[in-house]
Formats: sequence, C-alpha cells, structure tokens
Amino acid sequence: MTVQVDGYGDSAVLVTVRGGSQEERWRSTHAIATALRHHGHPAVLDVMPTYDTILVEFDCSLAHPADVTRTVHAVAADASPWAPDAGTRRFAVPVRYGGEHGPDLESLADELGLAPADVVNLHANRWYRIRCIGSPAGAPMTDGPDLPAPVRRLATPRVRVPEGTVAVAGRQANIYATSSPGGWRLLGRTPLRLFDVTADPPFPYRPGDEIRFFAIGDDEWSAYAGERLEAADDHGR
Amino acid sequence: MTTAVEIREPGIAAVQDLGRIGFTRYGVPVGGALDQYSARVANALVGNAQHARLVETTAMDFGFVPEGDVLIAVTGAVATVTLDGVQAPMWRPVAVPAGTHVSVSRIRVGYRCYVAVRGELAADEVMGSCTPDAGLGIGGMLQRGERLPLRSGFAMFDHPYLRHPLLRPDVTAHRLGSPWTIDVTDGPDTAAFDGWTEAFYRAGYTVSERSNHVGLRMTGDLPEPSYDTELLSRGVAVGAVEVTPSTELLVLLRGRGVTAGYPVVAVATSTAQSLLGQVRPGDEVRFRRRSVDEAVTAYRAERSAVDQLETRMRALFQQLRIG
Repeated sequence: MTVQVDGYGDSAVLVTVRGGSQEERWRSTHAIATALRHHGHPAVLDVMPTYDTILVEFDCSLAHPADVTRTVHAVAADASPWAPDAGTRRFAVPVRYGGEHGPDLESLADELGLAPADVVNLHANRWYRIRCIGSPAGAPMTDGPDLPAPVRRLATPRVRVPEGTVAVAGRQANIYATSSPGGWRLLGRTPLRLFDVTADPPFPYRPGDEIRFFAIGDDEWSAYAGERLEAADDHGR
Repeated sequence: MTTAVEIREPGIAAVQDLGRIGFTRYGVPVGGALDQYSARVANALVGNAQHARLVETTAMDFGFVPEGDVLIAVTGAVATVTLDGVQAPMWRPVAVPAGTHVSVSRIRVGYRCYVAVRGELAADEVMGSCTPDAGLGIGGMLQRGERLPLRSGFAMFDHPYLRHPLLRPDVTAHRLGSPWTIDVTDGPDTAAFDGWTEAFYRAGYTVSERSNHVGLRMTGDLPEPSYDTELLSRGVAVGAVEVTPSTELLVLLRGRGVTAGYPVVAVATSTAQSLLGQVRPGDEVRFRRRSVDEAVTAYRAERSAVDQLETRMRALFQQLRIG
C-alpha cells in the first residue's frame, strides 16, 4: 500500500491510502490517523479519517503545507498497525422503519424494484463495521446494505432530518446522531439517544465498532425513547 | 467588575468566537465568526485576545445599551455606528458611557459586522467554544431584552492621546463589495476539471438566496467533471468549492458538514475565507487562481498584522492605565 498526500488549499492536505484490499486500506487509514494524532504536530488542528482518506487541517501561519506533508509521510511510514478487533464494541439499534420516521423507504424500494419489507430485511439484522464518524455530528458511517444498486441522494436536501434517523446513500449508511439538513434517503428512526453534548466523548462508539439494526413497532417506541445507546453485552442485545 | 449589555434591536446576531477547533473527527463543524479577520481585529482593537467572545451581527440593524461604561470596536461590513444617534467610527476603539444606545445599522457593503467589547462576555461553552450549533443545541440568536453579562475592568476615561490622529490604530479594513474576487488554490479534484479551468476563472457567479453559514450557493457557468461525481464521503475543508449535481457551485463556509462526496474544483484561501463571510445573496463572485505559496504568504502577512495590532493596543492600554 502507498500513501499519497495531496494539497487541499493553504491549510489542509488530503491523505489517500492506495493499494491492498478495501479492508486493508481502511485499517491503514485509521492507523495513520491515530499515529498523526499521537504525534501532535503543533500546527495541526484536526485529523479526519474516513474510508480511505484523511483530511489533515492545520494553521498555515505556523506550518507550511510542505512541512505538514513531510510529517504525514514520516508518521505514515512508522505507524503501528491498527487493530480495532481487540475491544471492538457492538451496538444494537432499535429502528421504527418506514412511515413518518422513514419517509424514503417506499420510494427507494420502488426505485430498486423491491418491496419495502425487502429493503428493511437487507438493512436490519446484520453487523456493520463503523468506518468513520462523519457529519452531522457523531454520525457513525458504515458500508451500506447489500442493495441491488447505489442509492441516489436527494437532488435537494431536506432542511431538517430529525436526530436518530437511519439513512442510506450511494453504497454507504449512517445514522443522523444529531439533527441537521440532509440529502440521504431516510429509512427509519431510532428512539435511542446517540449524542450527548455534555459527555466526553459525546457518543459511545468509535471507528471499528459494530452496529446492528432491528425493527420495532410503534408500541415499542416509548420503551426506548430518550434512553442512551449503549454497547451490547455478549449476547448482542 | 461585572456589568451587562442589554440587547434592544436584536437583528440577526449571536455571541461568537473563532470556532470549535479540533472536533471535525467527531463530525462537529468548526463554526466561529465567518469573517475571521474582522473578528480578530475587533478584539485586538479593544485589547482582548483575538479569540475572545464578541457579537456577530448579520444584515439587519442591531442595537444595545451597556449598563456600565464599556470600550467597544465595530469592524466588518460598511455600516453606520451611532452612540445616542451621533455617528462613531468603525475599525477604532470607542469609549461608550453607561446607558448609551449603540446602534450598528444600515449594513450596506458586505454582510456582517463584529462588535467586540473589552472584557469577557458571558456565554455557555461546549467543546471549548460558544459558537452556536443547532445540531449540538448550543448558542442561538440574541433576543430583544436579553442581558449579556460582561466581566470588565474598564472605567470611563477621556484621554487626549486617544483623540490624537497619530495614535489612531493603523488597521486596514479589507476590500469589500460585489463583484468579489475570491482567491483560490487548486483543489483535490482540480485535474478532473481539465478543460474547464479557463472558463471557471473567467466566469462570474451569482450568489443564490439559498446561501447561509453552511455554504454559499452560486449559479453560473458550471464546470463539468470528467468522472462520476459522487465520491465516498471524505473530509472537506472550509473554503472548498464543490461542484454539485444540481446547477450550483457550493462554496463551504465554517458551518459546513465535515464530510461530503462532491468533487472539489478549488479551495478558497484562508484570507479569501474572511471575505466569503461578507458575501451577500445576489452578489457576484469571480475566482482568482493563486499558488499555495502565495496563499500562505498572504495569510501569514494578515495574521502578523493583526498580532502586531494586538500587541500595540495592549501596550497602549497598559500605558494609559485602562482596565
């Protein structure tokens, strides 16, 4: 695998890991991001790993992009392998699919030539590895369910997607841990609370952890409402 | 000493600082004053740290009454600043006696003004910053009648040195107004727009009404990428000029979501990002290509000038024994 570092304006560089399998690139990406954070370059403001890229943001009044690029290459060459399996936590997320909580379930099923129940069955009851935390705040981003085609985003994003909404786009899936505008397709919503601004960290999962969704009915909503999402015990519930 | 500032005409205003830095890996946007240059200068002019809390007011008339004597500075867009109806200068420290009605009105060239008050404005913080974030449930627009507590050692004075022209702080307002020239460097996907770059730099883009602190949407001669436009989500920097599948460019501001999948044709330089915080819907924008070295040099010069202003003002306040 190789590490490519490209300029991204005067105050950021974009690191791309190339070669190997998708899984290997993802692990290497997070290994490098972890190493960069621990390295603690004084000009670096943030290190944002996703699937196979890292955005490194810095204050260019303190360091030139060329310096940061050199640092990234040096740190990447020395980075320890990243092994999330040790201490991987698993989260089971109850979801009320469709209806007002999942306004795109039917239209998406229609586009894919499936019944809504098929889409639910493909999304639920399997483990997804959290690839990175993205936007909006605290969104656990994973590979998407095994749908017959990539999911098209909305041409015009919704002004507000309620927090807890479970969504898909392209070949990805996530949960809107906080409410925000959004262009992803909405399948359902969890009554659990994912994001607590007073906690540190404000959400309980990390890249490398796993999530599983399971369907609940309207009558079960209040039992979960407002409860925090917590890691499952060994039985995965 | 604790006093307070009472909001009379709330306009569209909020307590801001320079942002919530270091949390993009939590998906938390940096936020903070959209015109960072004006915010830093406003704070420096009153002898505050550059990252101190201040008020950002957008477009509409804003007015307040301090309950105690305060020292303020107003920077940003061209506006009319009055104290009990009498015009006061912008880009200068201004002493305001208790009970005076301060008005920042008729914002007309540019979009936002910054009002710094010597001392510490009270505000809740989350992750080290008071910058409003609806998703995090922090901060919000100021309301009519709201009292902002202020910790300040300032006491009213009138010193001939402060009225002497030689001692007026040497500070430049940046050049505001449509058509805007926004400096950009190449972005990560610039090569995919090969063949379109000339048109991109010649074109004028019109800022849409659907713009906000998340990003400026612009219509015009849209570049077309030579490959499929939806990429996997990856980190995006403030200032990224994205080419979306709709008929618009999207230039990301400090409220931007930290990941996106649209190709980035160029990236606004750090100095240009402060200008972007002053661009209004309906304005025209042109992009000018800069090298990374030119962009870094320009930003360092700007930061250095503000640092020098901060140092001079603090020394001055100390010499004049201004609290």
